[in-house]
Amino acid sequence: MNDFLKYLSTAPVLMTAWLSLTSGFIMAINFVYPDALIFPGF
Amino acid sequence: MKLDIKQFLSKFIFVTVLSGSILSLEPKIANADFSSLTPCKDSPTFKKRLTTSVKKLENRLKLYTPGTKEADFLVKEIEGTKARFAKYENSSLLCGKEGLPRIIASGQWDHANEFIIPGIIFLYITGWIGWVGRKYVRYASTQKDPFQNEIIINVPVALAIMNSGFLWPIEAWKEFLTNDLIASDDDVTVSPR
Repeated sequence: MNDFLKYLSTAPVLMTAWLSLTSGFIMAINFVYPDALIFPGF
Repeated sequence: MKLDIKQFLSKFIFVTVLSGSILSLEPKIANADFSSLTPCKDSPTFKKRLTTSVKKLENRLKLYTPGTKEADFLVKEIEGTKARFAKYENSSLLCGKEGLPRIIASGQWDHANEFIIPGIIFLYITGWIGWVGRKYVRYASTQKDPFQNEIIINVPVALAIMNSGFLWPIEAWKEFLTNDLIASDDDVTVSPR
């Protein structure tokens, strides 16, 4: 288990996980609020 | 000639703030008008683009039997197109002669939501990323095995550092004042010349 956690903590694995999360977040924003050309609320 | 970075940075920030405040006091620059652009809701070519876009999709829709996956997709596309044009119409966006909306990046406040605010948010987020990255690397350098800490990330520490980065402009300014932000010239290796 400890070795597996160590593997998950290596930079490439962490980066893949983190960038997947980030890109998923951005896709979700674009799905809910499509075609954003200006910052809303102003 | 030896360049004092701290002095240079202070001067640069001072000049930027000063010129920024002077420019924002000058009404002519702050409210430059765009005679070749019209608000999108008054632009006939903009409306024409809406009708042609919708028409194209409707022509494609005719090829499919209603209720199929493809037809539903096209119906959604038509709705989305109408919503997009309505949104641009109801905003402060200006359109060119060809009917396409333009982003005004001149820095004037009535168009701040087009460039200034997204730009500031971009700089804030990128600054956050850079700041916490620097903080982590500096943390790693204090550990027993710095390189190992950069290859195998200490996740709990990294998460704590990431979450603490939201005040980075203030922290960076504090470090700048205490001479911690910029390495001293003695620490920077220079090739012999």
